[in-house]
Amino acid sequence: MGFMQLLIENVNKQYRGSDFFALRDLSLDIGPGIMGLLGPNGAGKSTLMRIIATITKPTHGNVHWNGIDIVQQPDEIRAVLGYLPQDFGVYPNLNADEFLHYMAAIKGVDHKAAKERIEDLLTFVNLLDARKRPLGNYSGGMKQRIGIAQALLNDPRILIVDEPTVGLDPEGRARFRHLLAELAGDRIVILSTHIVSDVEATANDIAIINQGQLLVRSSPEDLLQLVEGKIWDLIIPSAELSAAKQKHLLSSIIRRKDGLHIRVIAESRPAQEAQLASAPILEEAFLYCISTHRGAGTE
Amino acid sequence: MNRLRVLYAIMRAGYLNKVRTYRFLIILCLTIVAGYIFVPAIDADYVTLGWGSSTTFYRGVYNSAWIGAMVAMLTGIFLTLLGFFVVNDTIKRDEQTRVGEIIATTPLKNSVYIVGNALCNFAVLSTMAAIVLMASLGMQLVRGESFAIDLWALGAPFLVFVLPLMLLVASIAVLFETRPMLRGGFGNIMYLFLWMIGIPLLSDSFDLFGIISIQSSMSTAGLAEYPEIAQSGFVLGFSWGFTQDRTLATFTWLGIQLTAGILQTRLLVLVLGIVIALLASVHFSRFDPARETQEISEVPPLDVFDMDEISKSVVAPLKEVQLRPLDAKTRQFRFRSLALAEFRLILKELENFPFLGVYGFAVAGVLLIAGLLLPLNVAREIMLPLAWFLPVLIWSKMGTREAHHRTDQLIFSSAKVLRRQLAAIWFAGVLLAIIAGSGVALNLALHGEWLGVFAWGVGALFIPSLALCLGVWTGSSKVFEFLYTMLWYIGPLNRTEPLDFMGALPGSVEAGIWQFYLAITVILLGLAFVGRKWQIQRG
Repeated sequence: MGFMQLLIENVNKQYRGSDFFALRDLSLDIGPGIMGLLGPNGAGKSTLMRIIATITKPTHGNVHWNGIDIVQQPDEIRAVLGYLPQDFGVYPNLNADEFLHYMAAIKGVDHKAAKERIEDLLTFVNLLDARKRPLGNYSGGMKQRIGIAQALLNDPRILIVDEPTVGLDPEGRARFRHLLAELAGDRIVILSTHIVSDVEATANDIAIINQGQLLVRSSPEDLLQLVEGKIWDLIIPSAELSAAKQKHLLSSIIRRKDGLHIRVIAESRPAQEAQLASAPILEEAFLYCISTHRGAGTE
Repeated sequence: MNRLRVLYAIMRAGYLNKVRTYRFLIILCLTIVAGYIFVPAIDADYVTLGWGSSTTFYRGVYNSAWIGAMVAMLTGIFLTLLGFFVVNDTIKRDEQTRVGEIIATTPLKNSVYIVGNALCNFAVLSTMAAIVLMASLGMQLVRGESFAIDLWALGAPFLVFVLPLMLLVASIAVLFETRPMLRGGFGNIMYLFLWMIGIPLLSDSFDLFGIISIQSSMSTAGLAEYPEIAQSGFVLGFSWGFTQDRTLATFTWLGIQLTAGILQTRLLVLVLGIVIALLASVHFSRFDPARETQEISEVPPLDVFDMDEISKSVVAPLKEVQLRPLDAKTRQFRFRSLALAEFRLILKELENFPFLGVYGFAVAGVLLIAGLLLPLNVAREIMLPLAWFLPVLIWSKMGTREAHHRTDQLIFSSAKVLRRQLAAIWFAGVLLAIIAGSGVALNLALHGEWLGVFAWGVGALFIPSLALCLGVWTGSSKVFEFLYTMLWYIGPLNRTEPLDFMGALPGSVEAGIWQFYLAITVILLGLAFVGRKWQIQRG
């Protein structure tokens, strides 16, 4: 497939009977690769995902898939879409095989091809042994894996995954990250999460949204550049923690024999004895962006 | 005192959760409408309470006592039926929202939780009854036969007759919710049969609704003025055509004397309600699904966890799985595949009822063969209604399944889902009707009853269309279960020809009743399509 573009233009979303805007004038131009969508709880990530997945419509603004307005013609994207919502259910009386065959029929995947694909996917999500068990008996993590499998059933050109690793065990998370990296070559993957390390491990493009607005659109490297020279290591006595938390933005606190080892995000050296940290991490860049936005909002 | 406070808190939370919904607002509007139609105007085409002879219709003057008692009796009858369906999801809601799991971890006693929920149901039903009471006060003034308002005469029948009934229904609803077999569709159908068949059987020996006491008091007053009432038939409920050729004769009734006997009976209903609520708390699973599954007789031995063995093993890489790309040619929608997938899905619903699942198929098979081999009149008038009642719990899930199991986001984000999936669900429902009723259809064809076959075909289309439309618009299986059972019972089973939607009665087939249901089927399908489109667009 050649040209591939998802264009989101000035999208606003206001829920009926409420003054609250879940999204405000948000624009993004997304091409092949993995775009990590980061934001605190309630930032509007899921709303944006639902709009792209054509589950809901924007109150104002446009979304184009390869030049076609998908608000008006949602089937254009649905035919090539794989979607894993944050909160979804399954039919408890069906087993994994039956449920995936049902979803394959809905997505229009040929029965024979679906059979092979389901075999692959069940192996991939490590559910081959449990494939004949009713989904009603699955744990949360197993259900999440079924969700991942159904999203990949039709070999989608655009994959939208909302908090995909919630409930997965460490092996499942690692496997899923590998898969995303593999898939990203010739398709669009939008990964929404508040687990920054998942984005750090996979995304080549990051968008941070807060209070429905786009704060930053950047590569992981450029984002890390933002906090270069702003992360400080400091050791303080336990009794000073409360004061430190009030005064500074802390990214980590580790208790050691010699006191509390804290990492402070600050424009300038927070204390005489503070040392510039060697390598900032993405989570610190994320915290920095959110806190500066919050600060700007309260001023 | 502390326990009372907890009871109040449970009742209050459940009550507020129920009444702060659009659904309750709609129910309240319907309740007010009920209050209006319970008191027919002098020139109305129907009557609700009185005595009818061939020339005269006798009833009391619309004063506070008459209106209070009349509306109380009708409210008692209708709310014991409809009220059950309004309140029988209180515990289910706690289960669905997972609040139940939090509650289960608290020191709260089962009995307090269950009685609290029964009281919540009681409060909801009493609110509805109170609205009807207020409406009836308004109706006394609107009808204008007596402007003397006597609040005690108006309200006493509600207090004495309706409220104990509401507690009884509230408790039965909770009891049904705590029993795995009676929860959901099967319980709904059982309750309907209990109401339709059980209560009339009981009514001669036990004055559950207070109708016998009130009727006796009213007839004493009526007989004093019109002795011919003794030869007239008593009417309670909606009866049409009474006022067309008859003159209206009214008498004054000042209310019922509350004797010790009456109060004892009402007290018994109240106690029965409390006992049922307490009974419901026995064996309540406390939101533990494991308590509702079959116990296993033998526990298989566990593999021994050997730390030495683990420490000797080497680190294995993650198993690599290559996802092979799908050929574009394989992405071609086939309606047959989806329709069969939907059909398999609806049959899977039976697994919720292990008892019904096993015997259901056997009974369906017997009905199918009996429908083919028995004499035609027995086959169409008895076997067909039975064959088309058996799958009611399967049909009732049509259109509700996606929202109920929260698969809507997965499904509604698929291409052309409105046309494809909706049509497939409907097709699966029709296929089920065709299979279940095929014995009778073949029997009709073998006898050359082609009009009968056509009417049968309309029935096979009508039932899933009704289920799909109601499922899509209400999001609940209850409405279909209720309406279909009533329609089935009053229509084909009780030989009411205008309600024979399945062509079971030769008279209705010849009269062309099926044409009406064919038209309704088209309308229902249109409404289902519009409803589902709205659901998808609403997001």
